[in-house]
Amino acid sequence: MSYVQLDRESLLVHVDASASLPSLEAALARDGLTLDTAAVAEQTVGDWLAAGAHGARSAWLDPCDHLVAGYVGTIGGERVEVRPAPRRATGPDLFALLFGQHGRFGALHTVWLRVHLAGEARPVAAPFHDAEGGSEPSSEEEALAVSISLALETSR
Amino acid sequence: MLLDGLKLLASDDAADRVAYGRDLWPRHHLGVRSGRLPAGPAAIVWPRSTEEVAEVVAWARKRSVALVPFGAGSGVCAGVLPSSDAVVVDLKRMARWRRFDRGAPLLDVESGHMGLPLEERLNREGFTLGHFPSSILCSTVGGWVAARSAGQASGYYGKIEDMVVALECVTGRGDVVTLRQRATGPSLLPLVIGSEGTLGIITSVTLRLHPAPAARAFAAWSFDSTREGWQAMRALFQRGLRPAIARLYDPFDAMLAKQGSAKRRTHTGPHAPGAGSAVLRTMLRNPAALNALLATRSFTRAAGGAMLVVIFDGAGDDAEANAERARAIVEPMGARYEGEGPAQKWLAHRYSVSYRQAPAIAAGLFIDTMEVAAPWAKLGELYEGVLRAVGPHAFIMAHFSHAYPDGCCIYFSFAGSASPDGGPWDAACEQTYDQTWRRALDAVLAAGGTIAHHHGVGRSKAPRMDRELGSGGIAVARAVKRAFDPDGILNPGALLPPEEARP
Ligand SMILES: Cc1cc2nc3c(=O)[nH]c(=O)nc-3n(C[C@H](O)[C@H](O)[C@H](O)COP(=O)(O)OP(=O)(O)OC[C@H]3O[C@@H](n4cnc5c(N)ncnc54)[C@H](O)[C@@H]3O)c2cc1C
Repeated sequence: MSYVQLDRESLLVHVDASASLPSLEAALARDGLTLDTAAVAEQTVGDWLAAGAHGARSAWLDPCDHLVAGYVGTIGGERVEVRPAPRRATGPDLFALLFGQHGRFGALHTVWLRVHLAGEARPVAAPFHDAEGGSEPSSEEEALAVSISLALETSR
Repeated sequence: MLLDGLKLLASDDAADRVAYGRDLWPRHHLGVRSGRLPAGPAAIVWPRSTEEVAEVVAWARKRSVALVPFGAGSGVCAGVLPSSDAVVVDLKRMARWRRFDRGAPLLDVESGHMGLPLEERLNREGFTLGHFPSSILCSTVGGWVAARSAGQASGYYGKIEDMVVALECVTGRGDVVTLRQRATGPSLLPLVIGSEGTLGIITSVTLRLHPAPAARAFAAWSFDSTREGWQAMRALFQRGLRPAIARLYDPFDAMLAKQGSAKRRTHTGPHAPGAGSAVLRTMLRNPAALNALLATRSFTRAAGGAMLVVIFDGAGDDAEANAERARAIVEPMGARYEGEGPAQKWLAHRYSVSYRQAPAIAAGLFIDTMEVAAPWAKLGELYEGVLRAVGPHAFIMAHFSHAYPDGCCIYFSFAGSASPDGGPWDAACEQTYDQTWRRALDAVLAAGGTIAHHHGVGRSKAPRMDRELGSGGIAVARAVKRAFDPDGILNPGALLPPEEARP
């Protein structure tokens, strides 16, 4: 498995969505790095993110970090390229239409993931319990998702 | 009156229309200085509940009236610039705590709550939100979420988007929707965060809380160069440290920071700047020479170099232990320990520094800030690219106040004057201002940075969004807008470039 690019200085790896997640971890390990996920099952990085990155560390544990810094994908038939940045304030985060959406609105081609120095302890913020963090979308949320699908259809 | 049929607290009084006609985009100040005020909206409404917000939206939709959500108007990108037939919806009458869960801990608070009273009340309960924008005195929860705000302590607590558990909004369809974060998705919440009033009117936000820190540890170091400073900052964040505050100042900004709250000059009036202002105006007519002078080694030495200030929040001994760990990481990298003083001084004046703009504007200058970000590997290109692009047109300095393991925000401050050949002073000033911004944003995009880290886009950066998102990204953003707001009544003109400008 080879990366599209490894940016060691920024601790970012650019990989193809078709890359195998376990092989990516193995390749990173050879470079002294890790994604630090508990997800070991054979699957592609794209499928893993489309299913909601099960096994990734909870974002509430380290609010200053993140999993995905940038990506190239297709949403509603449009090519979307978001170059990596630690954070941005440039409108809605369109990655919400790809992450955990099971391919409903589009697909990921490549992605910039945050990697960690192997063996380095990761920060842990004060405990937070999000009781509804695993809930199913409400009917209102689902209705909005349907409207977005329709709007993406008609923009083509 | 326009609002007949709406049984809400409302006004179309001329003074209110002036007050709600704009936000704090510095270019508005230049206009006001030369006697031009924006038209102002047709009216302002103050809903007191989500139901009343839904009522306003239904009313506006039926009559095709544009609505502009308004928090406290502290935005700096013309997110608020209502047309003369629009209605401003001020959310500040909605400021109740809806649910406070000490166990989680979280707070569901209405969006019009002002920043500082919220933090103060949380402190009394033993908690903190951890969100301290310099504008905390003059901004609201809804405005923070709508513009993806960042507080001074983002290094430990994250930006506002890292704190939102759920939010309630009224979409442009008039529907009341609660969107929530989900660990493994799906979640449409990240679409409304940062939507700057264009998708929905945010009525309440559920925020993650932290215990108020029981201990704090302070440290500061100086460096021979700004670059060495940011390498030290990078090392701290990549080695797993999370100082709540980590601020690196370039040598000139460091010199100002060391002065803390400088004595304020008084002015006799906006068009009668004192002698100091006249000198400043003359100096800023040749910003290239000034920038070149400040870039010299001898100036850097005289100013004491770049300075990094950190504060660790903690529950007990961990704050001090983390400061010691930081010391062990940065001192072998050439950092000179400057003691606790600079960080304590910074904390004491944490909200005062940003209000220095008014005297400069009154003195006939322009002044503004630009907060951009990039991965660490591109930071040098971003920093030097912007200095090169802006340097000939405006005096420029920078600090780095939001770091992450993968990158950093650079906060540029620039000040300029009328171009010598630009005609009447105010018009020439506006010309230099626009040119400076154009060049700065071009340099950011060329370096691979993002055009906004926490001020949002508004109308001032909307024309650049096609280069931020690409034509595909813009098409998707427009589709999302149509889904939430099919008639385009919510804050038209903000965030996205005008439709006809599409290639
Ligand atoms: C001196 C000064 C210092 C600043 N420092 C910081 C800083 O440290 N960090 C930072 O992030 N920003 C800073 N800012 C910028 C500004 O304070 C932020 O953008 C803030 O988030 C705006 O909040 P507000 O309530 O004033 O919103 P407004 O200015 O009223 O609105 C901002 C945008 O959000 C929309 N909006 C407001 N409320 C809602 C709502 N309830 N629902 C939907 N849309 C809404 C508006 O339509 C507009 O597009 C500073 C500004 C000033 C003047």
